[in-house]
Amino acid sequence: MLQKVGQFFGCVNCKRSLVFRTEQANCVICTNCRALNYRLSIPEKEAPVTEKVKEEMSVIRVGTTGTFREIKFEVVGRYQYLFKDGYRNHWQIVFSDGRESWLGDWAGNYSIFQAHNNTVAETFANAVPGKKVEINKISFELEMLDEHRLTLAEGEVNDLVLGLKGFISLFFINPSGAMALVNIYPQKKADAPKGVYQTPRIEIFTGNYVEFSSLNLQNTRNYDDWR
Amino acid sequence: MKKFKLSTFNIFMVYLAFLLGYFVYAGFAGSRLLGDDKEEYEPEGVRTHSGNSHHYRSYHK
Amino acid sequence: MIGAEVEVLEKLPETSSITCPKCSQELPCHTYAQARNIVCNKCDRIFEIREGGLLTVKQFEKYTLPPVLPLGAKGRLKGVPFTVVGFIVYQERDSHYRWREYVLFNPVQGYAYLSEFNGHWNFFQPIYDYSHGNNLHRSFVYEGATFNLFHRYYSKVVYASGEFFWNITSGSPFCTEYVAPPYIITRIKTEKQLTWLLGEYLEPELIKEAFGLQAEMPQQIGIGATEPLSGGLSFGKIKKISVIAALALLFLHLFFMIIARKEVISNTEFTFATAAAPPVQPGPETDPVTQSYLLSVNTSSAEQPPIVGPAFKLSTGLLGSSNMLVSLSAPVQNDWFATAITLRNTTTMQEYDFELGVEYYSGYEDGYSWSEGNHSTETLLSALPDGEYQTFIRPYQSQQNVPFFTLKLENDVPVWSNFWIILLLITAFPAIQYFREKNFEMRRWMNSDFSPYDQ
Repeated sequence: MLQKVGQFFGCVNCKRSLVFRTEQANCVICTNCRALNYRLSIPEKEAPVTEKVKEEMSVIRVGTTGTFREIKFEVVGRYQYLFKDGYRNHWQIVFSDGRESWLGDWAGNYSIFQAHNNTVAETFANAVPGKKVEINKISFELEMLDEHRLTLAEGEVNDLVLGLKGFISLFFINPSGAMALVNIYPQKKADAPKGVYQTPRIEIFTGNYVEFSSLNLQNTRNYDDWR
Repeated sequence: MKKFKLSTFNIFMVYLAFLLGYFVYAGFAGSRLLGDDKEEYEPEGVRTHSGNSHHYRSYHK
Repeated sequence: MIGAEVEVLEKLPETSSITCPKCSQELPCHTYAQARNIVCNKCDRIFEIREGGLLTVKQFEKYTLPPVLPLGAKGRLKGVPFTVVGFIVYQERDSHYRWREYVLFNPVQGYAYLSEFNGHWNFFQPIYDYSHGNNLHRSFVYEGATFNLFHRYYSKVVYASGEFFWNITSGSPFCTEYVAPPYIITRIKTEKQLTWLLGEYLEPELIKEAFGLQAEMPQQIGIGATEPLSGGLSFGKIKKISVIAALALLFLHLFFMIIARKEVISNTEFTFATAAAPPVQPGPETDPVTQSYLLSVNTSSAEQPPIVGPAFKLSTGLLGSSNMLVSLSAPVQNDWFATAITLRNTTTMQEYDFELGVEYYSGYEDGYSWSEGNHSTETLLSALPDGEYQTFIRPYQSQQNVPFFTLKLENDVPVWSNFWIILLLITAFPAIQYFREKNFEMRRWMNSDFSPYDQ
């Protein structure tokens, strides 16, 4: 059965009403029982259950709304990446004009970014903090690199992402407020000698840091004690 | 009402205001800040014009 | 285990706690899954928070000085409510200098830091709109301020308590400090990260008030790297204001020059009698402004009664008074001439006495001609009250060979000396501030290896 965008359906496991708001996600995680409800599902088959996201004091939640460049958006899901030295939330947002994007949220930093795929992996070879690279015709400087430990998710996600582990994540900044994130996934052939990898697969996001107040977020978690 | 704080900045601003204010006052009053060499005598003063109390200083070379 | 799971979606949770696996002490945790390290304040062990639980990293030596800001203390800085979640004592790796840092947390705004060294406090927040990467700069401009290299060092953690969102014991960060008091920008470089923090000097009283502290703040020693002089009044600021004040003064002076009437009240020539022109009784002639008097030669004597000079009326001062420029000129040659002048207010009978004199000497000696002195002089009478005046003149001369002299009375003239005096007083303040600031800066930079001043 194929679930259409905007069409409500019951959770495979607990019958909680769910809906797909995006075209990209292949499943939506039930807010009640954590079951992965696939867009294309086999009726009567029990859905796998995921781990709950961790509490990291984010005020954003699935259902939070806001505006970016005067266009309204709604948060429909998130990946919560936990790294060796930090964490990162990628909130999946859907704009009122139908576009999909990401709202970044970590340690008081907020950003809006999109996936971008026109940069080769060699660009990031020998990456050290302070190194300059050009991504999407913008000059960036490497601020930080971190090692992935765990990915958790909620709302509308792609379950393939949950399975990707052990990547290196690079944080890039540009003084103008532009930012970029690069995830480098080492790929190793099953029969390859120890320490020999194929060209890594890379995942790139570019966007801009934004002020929290400029997002005009509504339906957030209550944070009155922190205002 | 905002409390006036005696900071260096405020002292400086008061100082400038006083200087400019005094300059304006002197301008309208015809005052010379350095004063002048005239001597002032009240009508009931002891001095009269017939006396020799104001001898001019010598200009002899 | 990396913190707890999200239990309540509607609001942010209260403080959580983690149990120390070594001594069972309950450790408060404000930042939940953001925490990477947590330190037990009882057994002084630092733990890395991992999926499987707490992993001991090391045990600190007991630190005897309690933190000025207790963990969990809440305070509002720069309009943001923060909670103190961490306390670190740093030391320069290659020296004995130690300073203390407090990690402040707000779930919306993120992290900020309060750093204290020798009783001087700086409030730091990360910035993302500046970086010169791995290059070494002696100075750079950020937000219009020039930041100069002040200090470079490797830092190490000697003690900590609370929770931290990064692994505080990994590596020895290389720190480079640039100052533009009251601001400081610190570049922190590790193997994995390049961070820029913008700091601002804060008075201890402000921190004490913000966090409602009762205890005394650490005593200030020396001059802080970012300590401003005189409560933030810099020479640059004072200079700007002084220039504006000087321009205002100039405009005011121009205004007074324009409105000054420069009215010639009297321009009188006094001629001493000769055989050809016998003396007449002194007294004014017909023209009230340009008058001339013919005087007896004997008039120029102390024993003679004064000459009754011109009379005039002053009624022009906005504040009931005005000035008077009195000019004397006489054709003296190798001689002097002087006169005592009295202005009598015929209404109040108040008298104003002053003297004017000219001298001029010239000659020819050793093939050179020389001269000194002048044929004319003037004096300004300040703030003469309005009223009717009568002048009395008593001329003096040594050899009775000055044939005549001229006396000019000019009312309401611009006073240039006022302008110069006020200008001098306006510039005095910034001049003093300049030298104070220079002295202050020299003392500040004594603590730096990169002082722009001669040591």
